[in-house]
Amino acid sequence: PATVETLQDKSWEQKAAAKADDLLESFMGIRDLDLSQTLIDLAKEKKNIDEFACAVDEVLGDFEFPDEFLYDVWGVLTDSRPGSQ
Amino acid sequence: VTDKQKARAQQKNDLSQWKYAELRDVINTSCNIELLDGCREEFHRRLKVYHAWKMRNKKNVQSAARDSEEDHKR
Repeated sequence: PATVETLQDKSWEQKAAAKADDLLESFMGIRDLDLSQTLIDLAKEKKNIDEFACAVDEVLGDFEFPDEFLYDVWGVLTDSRPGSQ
Repeated sequence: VTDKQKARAQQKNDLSQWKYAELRDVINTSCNIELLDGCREEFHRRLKVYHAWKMRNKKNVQSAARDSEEDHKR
Protein backbone atom coordinates (compact mmCIF):
# COMPACT_ATOMS: atom_id res chain seq x y z
CA PRO A 1 0.00 0.00 0.00
CA ALA A 2 1.08 3.55 -0.68
CA THR A 3 2.38 5.51 2.30
CA VAL A 4 2.87 9.22 2.77
CA GLU A 5 6.27 10.32 4.04
CA THR A 6 6.88 13.90 5.05
CA LEU A 7 10.16 15.73 4.49
CA GLN A 8 10.84 15.52 8.23
CA ASP A 9 10.54 11.70 8.05
CA LYS A 10 13.23 11.59 5.40
CA SER A 11 15.49 14.12 7.08
CA TRP A 12 16.15 12.05 10.23
CA GLU A 13 16.89 9.05 8.05
CA GLN A 14 19.39 11.03 6.01
CA LYS A 15 21.11 12.22 9.20
CA ALA A 16 21.22 8.64 10.50
CA ALA A 17 22.66 7.42 7.18
CA ALA A 18 25.35 10.13 7.31
CA LYS A 19 26.35 9.02 10.84
CA ALA A 20 26.30 5.37 9.76
CA ASP A 21 28.57 6.41 6.89
CA ASP A 22 31.09 7.72 9.46
CA LEU A 23 30.99 4.33 11.20
CA LEU A 24 31.44 2.58 7.87
CA GLU A 25 34.44 4.77 7.09
CA SER A 26 35.95 3.90 10.45
CA PHE A 27 35.43 0.16 9.98
CA MET A 28 35.99 -0.27 6.23
CA GLY A 29 37.95 2.82 5.22
CA ILE A 30 35.21 3.43 2.65
CA ARG A 31 32.39 5.95 2.52
CA ASP A 32 29.30 4.83 0.64
CA LEU A 33 25.95 6.45 1.32
CA ASP A 34 24.10 3.69 -0.57
CA LEU A 35 25.53 1.08 1.79
CA SER A 36 24.90 3.25 4.87
CA GLN A 37 21.34 3.90 3.73
CA THR A 38 20.86 0.14 3.23
CA LEU A 39 21.97 -0.44 6.84
CA ILE A 40 19.60 2.24 8.13
CA ASP A 41 16.73 0.88 5.99
CA LEU A 42 17.29 -2.55 7.51
CA ALA A 43 17.48 -1.16 11.05
CA LYS A 44 14.44 1.11 10.93
CA GLU A 45 12.07 -1.77 10.22
CA LYS A 46 13.31 -3.86 13.16
CA LYS A 47 12.12 -3.89 16.76
CA ASN A 48 15.42 -4.79 18.38
CA ILE A 49 19.10 -5.27 17.67
CA ASP A 50 18.79 -9.05 17.33
CA GLU A 51 16.29 -8.70 14.51
CA PHE A 52 18.53 -6.09 12.93
CA ALA A 53 21.59 -8.35 13.17
CA CYS A 54 19.65 -11.20 11.52
CA ALA A 55 18.53 -8.90 8.69
CA VAL A 56 22.09 -7.67 8.12
CA ASP A 57 23.26 -11.28 8.09
CA GLU A 58 20.70 -12.12 5.41
CA VAL A 59 21.26 -9.13 3.16
CA LEU A 60 24.86 -8.09 3.86
CA GLY A 61 26.26 -11.29 5.40
CA ASP A 62 29.34 -11.33 3.17
CA PHE A 63 30.64 -8.21 4.89
CA GLU A 64 30.86 -10.05 8.23
CA PHE A 65 30.28 -6.84 10.16
CA PRO A 66 31.33 -7.28 13.80
CA ASP A 67 28.74 -7.05 16.58
CA GLU A 68 30.35 -3.83 17.86
CA PHE A 69 29.74 -2.15 14.49
CA LEU A 70 26.11 -3.30 14.42
CA TYR A 71 25.58 -2.00 17.98
CA ASP A 72 26.95 1.37 16.89
CA VAL A 73 24.69 1.53 13.82
CA TRP A 74 21.71 0.54 15.96
CA GLY A 75 22.66 3.29 18.41
CA VAL A 76 22.81 5.85 15.61
CA LEU A 77 19.32 4.82 14.49
CA THR A 78 17.75 4.96 17.93
CA ASP A 79 19.40 8.33 18.69
CA SER A 80 18.30 9.80 15.37
CA ARG A 81 14.65 8.74 15.47
CA PRO A 82 12.30 11.72 15.97
CA GLY A 83 11.36 12.08 19.63
CA SER A 84 14.29 10.08 20.92
CA GLN A 85 15.80 13.04 22.80
CA VAL B 1 26.04 -12.59 14.88
CA THR B 2 26.13 -15.76 12.80
CA ASP B 3 27.61 -19.05 14.06
CA LYS B 4 30.42 -18.60 11.58
CA GLN B 5 31.15 -15.12 12.86
CA LYS B 6 30.96 -16.24 16.50
CA ALA B 7 33.45 -19.00 15.83
CA ARG B 8 35.75 -16.55 14.11
CA ALA B 9 35.38 -14.04 16.93
CA GLN B 10 36.65 -16.62 19.37
CA GLN B 11 39.82 -17.12 17.36
CA LYS B 12 42.91 -15.31 18.50
CA ASN B 13 43.69 -12.25 16.39
CA ASP B 14 40.32 -12.31 14.67
CA LEU B 15 41.02 -9.68 12.07
CA SER B 16 37.40 -9.40 10.90
CA GLN B 17 36.75 -7.45 14.13
CA TRP B 18 39.55 -4.97 13.49
CA LYS B 19 38.89 -1.44 12.34
CA TYR B 20 40.32 -0.14 9.08
CA ALA B 21 42.88 2.06 10.87
CA GLU B 22 44.20 -0.90 12.88
CA LEU B 23 44.66 -3.01 9.75
CA ARG B 24 46.27 -0.09 7.91
CA ASP B 25 48.72 0.61 10.76
CA VAL B 26 49.87 -3.02 10.87
CA ILE B 27 50.26 -3.10 7.07
CA ASN B 28 52.32 0.10 7.20
CA THR B 29 54.46 -0.60 10.24
CA SER B 30 54.56 -4.24 11.35
CA CYS B 31 57.45 -6.64 10.79
CA ASN B 32 55.38 -9.64 11.86
CA ILE B 33 55.01 -11.44 8.52
CA GLU B 34 52.16 -13.67 9.64
CA LEU B 35 50.14 -10.76 11.04
CA LEU B 36 51.01 -8.62 8.02
CA ASP B 37 49.72 -11.28 5.61
CA GLY B 38 46.58 -11.72 7.71
CA CYS B 39 45.88 -7.98 7.69
CA ARG B 40 46.41 -7.74 3.92
CA GLU B 41 44.12 -10.70 3.38
CA GLU B 42 41.40 -9.20 5.58
CA PHE B 43 41.77 -5.82 3.87
CA HIS B 44 41.39 -7.41 0.42
CA ARG B 45 38.47 -9.56 1.58
CA ARG B 46 36.57 -6.45 2.65
CA LEU B 47 37.34 -4.65 -0.62
CA LYS B 48 36.27 -7.67 -2.67
CA VAL B 49 33.00 -8.04 -0.75
CA TYR B 50 32.33 -4.31 -1.07
CA HIS B 51 32.94 -4.23 -4.84
CA ALA B 52 30.78 -7.34 -5.38
CA TRP B 53 27.95 -5.70 -3.38
CA LYS B 54 28.39 -2.42 -5.29
CA MET B 55 28.12 -4.20 -8.65
CA ARG B 56 25.03 -6.14 -7.54
CA ASN B 57 23.45 -2.99 -6.13
CA LYS B 58 24.16 -1.06 -9.35
CA LYS B 59 22.51 -3.76 -11.46
CA ASN B 60 19.46 -3.82 -9.18
CA VAL B 61 19.11 -0.02 -9.35
CA GLN B 62 19.49 -0.04 -13.15
CA SER B 63 16.90 -2.76 -13.64
CA ALA B 64 14.49 -1.00 -11.25
CA ALA B 65 14.97 2.24 -13.23
CA ARG B 66 14.36 0.38 -16.50
CA ASP B 67 11.18 -1.20 -15.09
CA SER B 68 9.82 2.15 -13.94
CA GLU B 69 10.66 3.70 -17.35
CA GLU B 70 8.72 0.94 -19.09
CA ASP B 71 5.81 1.41 -16.69
CA HIS B 72 5.79 5.12 -17.58
CA LYS B 73 5.66 4.35 -21.32
CA ARG B 74 2.60 2.11 -20.89
